Amino acid sequence: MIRLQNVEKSYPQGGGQVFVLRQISLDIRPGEFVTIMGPSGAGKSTLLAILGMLDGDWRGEYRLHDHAVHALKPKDRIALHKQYVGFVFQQYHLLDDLTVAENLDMPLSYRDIKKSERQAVVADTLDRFGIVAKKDLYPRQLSGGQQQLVAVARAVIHKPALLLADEPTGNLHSDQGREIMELFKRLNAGGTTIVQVTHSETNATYGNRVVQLKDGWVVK
Amino acid sequence: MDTLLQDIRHAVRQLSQRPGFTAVVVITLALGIGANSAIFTVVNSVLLRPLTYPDPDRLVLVWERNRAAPQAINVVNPGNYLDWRDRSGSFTDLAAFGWSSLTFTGAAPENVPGRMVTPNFFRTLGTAPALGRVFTADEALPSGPAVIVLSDGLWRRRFGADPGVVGRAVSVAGGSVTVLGVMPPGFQPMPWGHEEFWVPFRLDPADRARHGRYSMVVGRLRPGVTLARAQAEMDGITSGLEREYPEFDTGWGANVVSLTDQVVGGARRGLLVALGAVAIVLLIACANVGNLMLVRADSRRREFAVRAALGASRGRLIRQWLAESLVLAGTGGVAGFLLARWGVDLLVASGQADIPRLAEVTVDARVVALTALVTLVTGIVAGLPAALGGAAWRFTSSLHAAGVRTTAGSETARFRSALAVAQISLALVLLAGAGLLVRSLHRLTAVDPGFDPSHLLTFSVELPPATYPDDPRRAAFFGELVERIRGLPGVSGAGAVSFLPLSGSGAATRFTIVGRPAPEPGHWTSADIRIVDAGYFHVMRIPLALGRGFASADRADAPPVVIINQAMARRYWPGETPIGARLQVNWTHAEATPEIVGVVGDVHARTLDADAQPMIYYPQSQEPSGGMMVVARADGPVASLTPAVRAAVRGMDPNLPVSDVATMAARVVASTSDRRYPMLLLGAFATLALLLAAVGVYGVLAYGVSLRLREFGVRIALGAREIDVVRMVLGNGLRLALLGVGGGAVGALISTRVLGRLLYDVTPTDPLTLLTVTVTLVVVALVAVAVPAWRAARTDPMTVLRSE
Repeated sequence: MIRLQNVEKSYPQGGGQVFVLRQISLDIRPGEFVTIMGPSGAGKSTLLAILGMLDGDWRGEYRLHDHAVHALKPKDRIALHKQYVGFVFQQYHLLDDLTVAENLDMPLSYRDIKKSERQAVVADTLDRFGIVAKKDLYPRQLSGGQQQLVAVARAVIHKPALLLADEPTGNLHSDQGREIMELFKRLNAGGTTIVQVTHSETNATYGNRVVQLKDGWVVK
Repeated sequence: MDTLLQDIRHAVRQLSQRPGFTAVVVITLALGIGANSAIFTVVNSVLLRPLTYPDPDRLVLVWERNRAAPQAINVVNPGNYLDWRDRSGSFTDLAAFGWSSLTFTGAAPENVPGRMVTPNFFRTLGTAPALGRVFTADEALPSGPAVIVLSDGLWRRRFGADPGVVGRAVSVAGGSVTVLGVMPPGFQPMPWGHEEFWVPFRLDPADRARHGRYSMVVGRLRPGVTLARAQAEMDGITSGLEREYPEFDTGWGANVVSLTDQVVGGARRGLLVALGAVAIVLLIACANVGNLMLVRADSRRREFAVRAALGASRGRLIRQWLAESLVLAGTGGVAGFLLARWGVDLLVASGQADIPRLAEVTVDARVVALTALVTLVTGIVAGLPAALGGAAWRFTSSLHAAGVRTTAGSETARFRSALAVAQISLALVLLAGAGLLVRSLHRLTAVDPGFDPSHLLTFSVELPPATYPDDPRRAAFFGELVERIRGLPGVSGAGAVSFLPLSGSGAATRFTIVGRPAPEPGHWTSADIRIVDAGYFHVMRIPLALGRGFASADRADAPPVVIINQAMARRYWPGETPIGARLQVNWTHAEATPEIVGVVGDVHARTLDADAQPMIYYPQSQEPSGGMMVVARADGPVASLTPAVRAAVRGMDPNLPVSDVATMAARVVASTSDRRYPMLLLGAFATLALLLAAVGVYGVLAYGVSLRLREFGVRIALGAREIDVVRMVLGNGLRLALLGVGGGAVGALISTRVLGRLLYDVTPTDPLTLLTVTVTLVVVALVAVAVPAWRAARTDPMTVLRSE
């Protein structure tokens, strides 16, 4: 599904280059649950942003489902991102002025889906995630775990083939974190390819492969 | 569409949760949009809307023009009018009209202004009476009956809107007059004056003798005839009349002028300047709001980055931001439109004397459409910088909240500063214009009018010909009236004159100097003519330069005498005395040769900015007039004299009303109203612009300080004193202010030229004015910066650094 070949990212400093990622080559098959781990500053979140096409400033080759992402124009990358990718952030990043239902509706509204259809999908997702009773609440009225649950629901509502999660349980206590990881496992069992960044060994056990990064390199 | 509605719903919700921000933006936009709407309402009604006649663009005024004189228009000789009417083919109708007045008698005698008009006057203007009919050609002959057509206002006020008055004879001084009809409401054909009735202009078609010029002519162009063609034809006709009447018409041509241009031409420049001024105010308001929205967008970086990460396209993000901007602009637009209604009432009430057609000012579909368009454009202009900036925000590779970076952070800071600089520049342009007009008006009002207008009460008395049919009765009346006024308690002097200085009215005629060769036809010498009583010069404090004033010995049966002004003496007797010289004046007693017995100081008869012209004063004892302006100088408050003077006139003739009561000081002020009104408008808008610019500068600097609190904390922790921090912030503010005034000065030097003839004795690039407004603006900007500078200096480094 995903093939990275010699992907690198750097920025200029003091006449030279500071590398964030170096010669990353990585294959991810459909349906895999991959965990990226490594110390702080290893480049984990940068790699996730590149996989999610949220960062376009890199070199190398990246293929997603036979699409040569490295050769695409930014507009086409955005379209590809919309088609295949869902993102879960550590800080949830729900919009505070929108209700739970409206937060879920947002990604659908950016994909030219008719209102009646969106309403049906949102209702279905609320039901699937057991948060129907919370649909008219605002994020500030939810606990951390509930917010992350809504964030995961928002990330998968448009049925992406690829779910990227950056420290999804980083701001949750262990019970809430476990619930989220169980949810990821269920999504993966349903066919969603998942790539997560985490410091937690426990969270890593939910996946079926670990990729270690150190100083921007994949450590074999 | 539903996503657009969704964006609007979200925008309304977000804005209602931030009432302070929303209120500031809405008020700012309401002021800018409201000012534009108000001024455009007036411009639309006065300049753009056609006159309320059928085919108003076919209506013209035809004036005589003395090629040797500076003014382009002159009143018309009736004989010339009759010849134009008979010989021209360019007009379907050509009608003449002139001034009239009538004293309606009864329980409340009232002197009412009106016009005498030829029978085709109403047909020329394409307006039929609402009741009854207008007079026929036979009724307009010199031998015709006394008939009248009333205005709607006079019919309602004096006759209780009684339809039965049509066909009835009503009582006037010296007899009665039969009412033939009533014109529709709002029928005020001509831009100057205010008439309330129309009587026949009694012209004998067979009498083409040339005596004086005193009428006006309105015409309707024949279909297909252009103004240029009509002018060419009139040039040919007047050339023929020059040959036929060389004594009277040599050097005289005709000017054909569009009636619309004549009505609104004088007000056009001032109104367009006002329109330009409010456009600048709106630009400043947009810059202010733009800055506020940029600051708000800054605080919503995370939201925009998340939306982009969830799939929002750049266009969608821009649209969402513009939806919010348009909601704000729409609310500001509605508020501004309501504000404009109040503003229009104020403009109309304050500009009645200066701006024509103000009574016709209404809000129509064009005004609503323009307000809506301005609102839409404002919403886009004010919101676009923030929208474009917000759409550029993306997550960096760090992907956590603190790591949300903008690619446009420093650019938005520079853009905010640029907006603040632009506001200052625009404010300077307006201030410069207002400053020039203020200086101009100040120079004008400092002009010595040639008399002392303080503590002078003036009023008009018109003697009906029927009751005062001859010169002795008129002379006796005004002689006694002035004596009675002079004897009133609180009055230190009284006099009378045919036309007051600066009143906009006057009389002039040609003259020759006895013993000197008569000028060639077409090169006549002319002078203004005034009839005065013996006390006039004293009460007006017009100095006597040579010879003597009029005395009681200058009776009707005494040798005729005149007094001239210094301008006439300088022009025709340079270096020698005119005392004892005799004149032959084309006036009522043309055969007489009055002797010059005195020379008085010059008076600004027309306007304060026009040089004094030659003037001949006749004593009213020898050349009585049927209508005079009486002048009384008060020892105390002027207004307290009014009841006493009314009683004095009533005591002499209970059927004589007193009209046009005003202080001379008020008349002098009114004479400058064509410059005062634009000055007040521009001054108000410049003040608003200054306020908005100051708020804008404050906003930019205050926000900049809030972003640099950590830096200031570190600097203070490292040893910076309060004054060092203040200097940093003030320096930044001064830099913005100087950039702004630099750009504004260039803009002012270019744009103030449009003020043109609105300025008196001041050039558009007057350095003192520009320097004054520049310094004012810099000081205001520094005051605006003072609060953020003080805040920055009070930064507690431990508080700031601990919170990091």
